[in-house]
Amino acid sequence: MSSDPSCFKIRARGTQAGVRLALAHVVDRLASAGADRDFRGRAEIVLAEALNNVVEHALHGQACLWVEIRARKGDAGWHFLICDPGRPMPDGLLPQRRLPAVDAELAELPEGGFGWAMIRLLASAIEYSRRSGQNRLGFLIPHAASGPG
Amino acid sequence: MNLSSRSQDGTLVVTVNESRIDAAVALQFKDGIRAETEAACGRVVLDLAQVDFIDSSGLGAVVAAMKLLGKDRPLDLACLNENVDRVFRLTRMDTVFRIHTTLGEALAR
Repeated sequence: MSSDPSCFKIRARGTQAGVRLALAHVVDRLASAGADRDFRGRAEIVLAEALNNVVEHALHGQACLWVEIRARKGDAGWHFLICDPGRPMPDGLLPQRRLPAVDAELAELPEGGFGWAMIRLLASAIEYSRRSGQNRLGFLIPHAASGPG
Repeated sequence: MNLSSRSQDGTLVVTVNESRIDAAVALQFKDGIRAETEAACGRVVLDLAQVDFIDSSGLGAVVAAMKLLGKDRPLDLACLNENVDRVFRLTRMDTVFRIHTTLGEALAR
């Protein structure tokens, strides 16, 4: 663990409880590095969605596996990299999901499909690669919010 | 999932006594709402003042709760913290739910 607050690494157990714990650590570290409340809120949403996807789809219930979160502060924002040893993304591509339509009848309202849409609204420079049996998801969260975020 | 409820002027106020509605508790939240609202016959207001964080699974569970209650028992939301409000705005769910700034405002109508 580095003593430089603008660069850190946290490991999360591949469970929903592990994600919760890791998010609390990341938010603490961001606060120590001077990230404001608004930024920490946006970062927690993006990281939660990305990590939940890893636990649910890539690790698929294999609680013995770990996910690594790396964070580095840059000029435009914080760069994050999430690495996991789980199954690759289908076709090796990121989901291109847009927001599900919400102008629907009560019974037809969507109960899911928001995760990737929120990641795409709050993060930029989203990149996925598969290397040495690991999924690597990188993205940037800007210091200041743009648009509806 | 710690929920509590009280009836006031024909409205059932359900308070979420938790700081997070996330993937880890989304199912318990849905079951908890079902139990708390069993006897409700009118409007339900969900008091989210203690909730600091909601993720897409939690959001899905709130939508599921709204569907579960049906048209005759509309589900309103009250006291959304900044980051919870952000999730409703980002997903456009703020156009689906009636959202009140305070509980007083929710009960006044």
